[in-house]
Amino acid sequence: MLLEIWKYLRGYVIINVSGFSPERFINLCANRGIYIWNVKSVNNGFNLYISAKGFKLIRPLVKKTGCKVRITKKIGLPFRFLIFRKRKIFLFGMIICMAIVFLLSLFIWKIDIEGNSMYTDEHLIKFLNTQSHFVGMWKKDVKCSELEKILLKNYGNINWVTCEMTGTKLLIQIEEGRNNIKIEDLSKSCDILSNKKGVIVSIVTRTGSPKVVKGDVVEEGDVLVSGTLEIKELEEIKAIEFTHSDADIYMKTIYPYHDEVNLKYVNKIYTNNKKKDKALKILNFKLNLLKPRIKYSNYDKITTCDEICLFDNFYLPISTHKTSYEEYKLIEETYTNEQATNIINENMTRYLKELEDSKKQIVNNEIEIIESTDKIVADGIIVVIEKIGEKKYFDENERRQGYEEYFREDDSNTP
Amino acid sequence: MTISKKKKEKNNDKKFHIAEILEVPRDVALGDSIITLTGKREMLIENYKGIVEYDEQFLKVKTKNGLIELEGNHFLITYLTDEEIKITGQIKKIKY
Repeated sequence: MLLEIWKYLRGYVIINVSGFSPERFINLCANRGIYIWNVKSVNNGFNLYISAKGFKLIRPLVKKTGCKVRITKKIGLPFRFLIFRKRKIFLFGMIICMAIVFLLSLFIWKIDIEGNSMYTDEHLIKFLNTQSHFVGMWKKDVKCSELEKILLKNYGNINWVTCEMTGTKLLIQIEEGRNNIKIEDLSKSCDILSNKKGVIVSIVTRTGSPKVVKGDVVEEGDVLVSGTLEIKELEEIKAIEFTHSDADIYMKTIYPYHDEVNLKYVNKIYTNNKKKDKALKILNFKLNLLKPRIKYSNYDKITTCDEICLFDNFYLPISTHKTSYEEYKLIEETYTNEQATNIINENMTRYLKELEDSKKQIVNNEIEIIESTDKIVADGIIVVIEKIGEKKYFDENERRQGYEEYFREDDSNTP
Repeated sequence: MTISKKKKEKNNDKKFHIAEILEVPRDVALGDSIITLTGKREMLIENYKGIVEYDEQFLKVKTKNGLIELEGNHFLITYLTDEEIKITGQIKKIKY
């Protein structure tokens, strides 16, 4: 098998030897070390296979033996290259093509971002551009670990980043986390203040001294649970201690609601006139194939962009853009009262559902829908019970000083 | 002529003895050809001098110590080099 491959690589010829003494010719060939095989006797002489190299050496032998030699067939790789002699440009073109593809594979042609919902792809890609990572950069210039650090630092909501480079694609995977859980320092003392105005519905205190009870009306900023523990003996304060307050406080508050819908509105109706355009974009050059003249005054331009990629990860900087221009007309229309009322109701239901989803309990809604000549208005309040409480840390020493004076006074009072 | 032949024979015998004593292979010492036959289909002749006649049904090969004649059908020389030749075909007679 290997010998066959070797023979093919070197090239061989099938020749027909006829004449005076072909046997002598064969003997001479053998003596000179010229490789011959598959010798077959035919009518006038011999058909034999001879190596291409050997064939060049048989000229004097042919003369010596007085034979006639004719080539029947040429087989082998070297003979293929001779065909290319006339098609040099083809070969040249093939080499250039391979070189270009190889060269293109040294750049990054696509940046892919996965796992992001809060930040858009474009936003993150713009940020990467400012960090000198853009489509069309050298692959060796990509610094993955630095990118990861910078992304984590600049975006508080990103919890985990990996950057990977496969083929000509830069892949960035992100895991976002909402509201990083603050690690509370339970040794630091704090009060709990109210952040809204309302009526206390229930209060369960775990640590700290509560300053309000169920039914109290509180304003924004009032202290609900204090971190100062006054240790009393018969109505007299004997000692002060400070603690980290912790409590569950539920309050009834009011959310105002206002919504308006105009009866007259402008509607966007698509007339079915469309025009299509196709463009090819290589690197940064854009070639438009068609160029329709657009006579519409109002239209939507919708473009889809497809990038060419071989083998899944090997993107090339060639993309096709298909644009379609769709005309629309702006028509003034009026809602009927019913339609407008429906819209208002839908909006209201949606808002109420949002409130419920964020764990607020709706007690009552007093929303009035008022119809007037040119609009319908929904106005009113929603009464909600929600959990409130803002922790505010204080400085122990300052507070203590406040009580010092009290103690000193007290001391001076006692006989 | 006969004297030189006798001398040759004597020389050959001497050589033969030396070869036997030293246990040298006979084809190296005496120039004998080695014939390898595989059934009736293939024959490999090593250490030959040249081809005298070649036909589809007849082959004559010259060696140092004589001629080898082959008769049969569909003879095909698979390959030949300086020292060996391989023949395939239906061999019917072998003559020395």
